[in-house]
Amino acid sequence: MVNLADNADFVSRSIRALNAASVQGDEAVFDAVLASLVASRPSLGSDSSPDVIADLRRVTGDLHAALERFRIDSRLVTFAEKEMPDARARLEHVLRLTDDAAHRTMDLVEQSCPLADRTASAAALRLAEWRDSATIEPGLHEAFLTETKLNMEAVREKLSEVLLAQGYQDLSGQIIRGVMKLVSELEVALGDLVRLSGGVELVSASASPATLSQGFGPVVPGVSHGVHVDGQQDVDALLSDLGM
Amino acid sequence: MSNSMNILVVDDFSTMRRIIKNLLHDLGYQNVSEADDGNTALPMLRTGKFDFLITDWNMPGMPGLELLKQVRADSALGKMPVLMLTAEAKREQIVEAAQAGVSGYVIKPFTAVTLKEKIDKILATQAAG
Repeated sequence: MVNLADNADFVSRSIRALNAASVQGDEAVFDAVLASLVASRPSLGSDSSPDVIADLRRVTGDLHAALERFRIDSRLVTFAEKEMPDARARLEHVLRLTDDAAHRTMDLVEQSCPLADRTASAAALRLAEWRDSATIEPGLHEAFLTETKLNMEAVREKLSEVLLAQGYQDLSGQIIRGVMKLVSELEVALGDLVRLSGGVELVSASASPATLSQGFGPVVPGVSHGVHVDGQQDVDALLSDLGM
Repeated sequence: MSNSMNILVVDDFSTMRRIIKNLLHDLGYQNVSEADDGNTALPMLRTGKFDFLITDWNMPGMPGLELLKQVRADSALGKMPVLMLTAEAKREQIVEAAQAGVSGYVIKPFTAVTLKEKIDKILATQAAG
């Protein structure tokens, strides 16, 4: 015969085990512990009705679901309060990086073009003089070659900087990957929430769907829907069909 | 008139406006102005200063298709050449733009050669008409 103190200890240990199994979502352990508790029921006292066991099962089930929901809710709160603003900031940073790099590249190209133009013009002039050696002046060749050397060194330096400016792709690519990971996690969390709420499966939809009038943006392979033209030749063929 | 014509370039991205402006300069067009959407562009066009409009489609505020429709509905601007320069690639959109009276349609990413060809074609059609 189990005494009262042993019985209380057994029940206490069982409840802790049930709680741990519930938090861990370990259904097998939960059921096993509950079964042992049920099996020991006669020792709990003659006034324990079968309804108590059913209630216990229901309450622990609800507790399990509530804990699960709380875990998902906590993840969603973190997403909403911290990670989504972070993602927005990261994407804004990408926009800034690409904007800066594009302008920097164009600055360098704009600075290089006049140097190349001047060198080409001077070369054309020297060529004409060389063909008519009667008009050649001492020192002109040296001046031309000196200017060409300086201009080409400057252009070479700017081309290197153009190359360096493309480093934004590496940085922005990494940031975008981070945001993609976050979006995947959010998708899983939202899916869990919908499943737990017993709702319908999530259907992909944007908050403000793009319209034909506003425009859809560039074609993204695997994402964009509808019939798209494939390059300028397709556009020209289509417009030609339309009589343009 | 072609090389001295006043061109308005409308795009929400300053980098793209700059690229187009540089290409136009290379083609000999020096009088190029910029606007970042239809709402900014329309009052500029209504000053009567411009001869040619190059516009993006997808812009916040007034998109390019709406700008095109407003230009065609305006008695003073109605005949202005409008070149759509955009990444919008749905067939139904190109049909829509054609029906709204677009003069040419260049898809991004584009080349300097394509831009020149389309501008030349539009100007030739205008001269013949």
